Amino acid sequence: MKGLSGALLRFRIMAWVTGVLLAVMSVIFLPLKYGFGLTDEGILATIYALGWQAHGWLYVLYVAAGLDISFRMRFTVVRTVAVLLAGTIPFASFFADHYVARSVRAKLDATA
Amino acid sequence: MIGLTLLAVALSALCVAAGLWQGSRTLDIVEAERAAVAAPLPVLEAASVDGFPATSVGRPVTAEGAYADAEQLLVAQRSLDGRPGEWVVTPFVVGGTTVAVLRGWIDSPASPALAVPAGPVRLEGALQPFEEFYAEQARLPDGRLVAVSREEIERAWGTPVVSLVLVLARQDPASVPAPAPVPLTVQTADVPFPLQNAAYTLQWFVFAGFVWVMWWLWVVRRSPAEAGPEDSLTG
Repeated sequence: MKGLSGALLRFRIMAWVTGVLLAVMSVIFLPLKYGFGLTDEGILATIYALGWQAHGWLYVLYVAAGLDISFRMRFTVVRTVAVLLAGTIPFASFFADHYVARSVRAKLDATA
Repeated sequence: MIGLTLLAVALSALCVAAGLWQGSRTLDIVEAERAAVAAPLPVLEAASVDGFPATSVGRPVTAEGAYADAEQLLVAQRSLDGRPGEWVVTPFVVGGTTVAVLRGWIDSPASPALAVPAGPVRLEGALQPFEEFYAEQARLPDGRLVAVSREEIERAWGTPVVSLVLVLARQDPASVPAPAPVPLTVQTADVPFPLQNAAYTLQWFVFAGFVWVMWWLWVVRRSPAEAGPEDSLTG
């Protein structure tokens, strides 16, 4: 069990950071771009490009943290892939976070 | 186990394919941007008296108008391929706006190539910045310029000029003889690099690597432990 809570904390941080950024990008910036064309130039264009780049690299970290916690929790391959893919769907990472945190707590309680 | 291995091969192949696709998109975007910048633009659309976008430096342009009567200026001590000589800067009027045209190099102030063609002409060339070094230096006693200085040129012609110099490459109808074309000192500013697509390219390759990390964790490390105590892998 050593390291499990640390792995959970890392995963939760990444799930929230990527989740919030993805939600902001898709709920605010995608309509701005495709609805109003406001991200074509200027400061919004820069923020838009940086936002997606940041999300790309943060998602890499999310996958690393997700792999780590899934392996420690001995999730099946299908569950692991579901946890990892949740980082690409807006708001899904919050559910993944909730599910993983609950599983970890249950496991910790069972072995306590 | 064989199934998982095959899955890992398929998934990582997909990731690599997606990475290669993003990579080719990155290159396509750069190529399209370069093509857009390489297409000649009417000079007044590329720069004005008030300023110019950074992408206009080195940009090919066309200009349709006529050389003006104002004094043609020589820039002192400019060699071409090691031969001493001067540059010729001639005022050119496009739709009421004056453009400083660097027509080229001559070997002597008596050169017949100095003759300015009359009537409407069409120019092709590239835009270059005015020179900054010695730009505030007054003209020599014989009237020649020390540098391609916007300030001195505007003072000599008594009119504001477009904020970039048109370095002549072709003139239609051509002058015979004509000043020798001079090479560009500042090459085209490069187009913005599509960082986002380049980053996605790298990320796909990282994900292909993650697939094999997963494979290693689930197939290689976990299998022998299946029979062992549960926390032998994390303890």
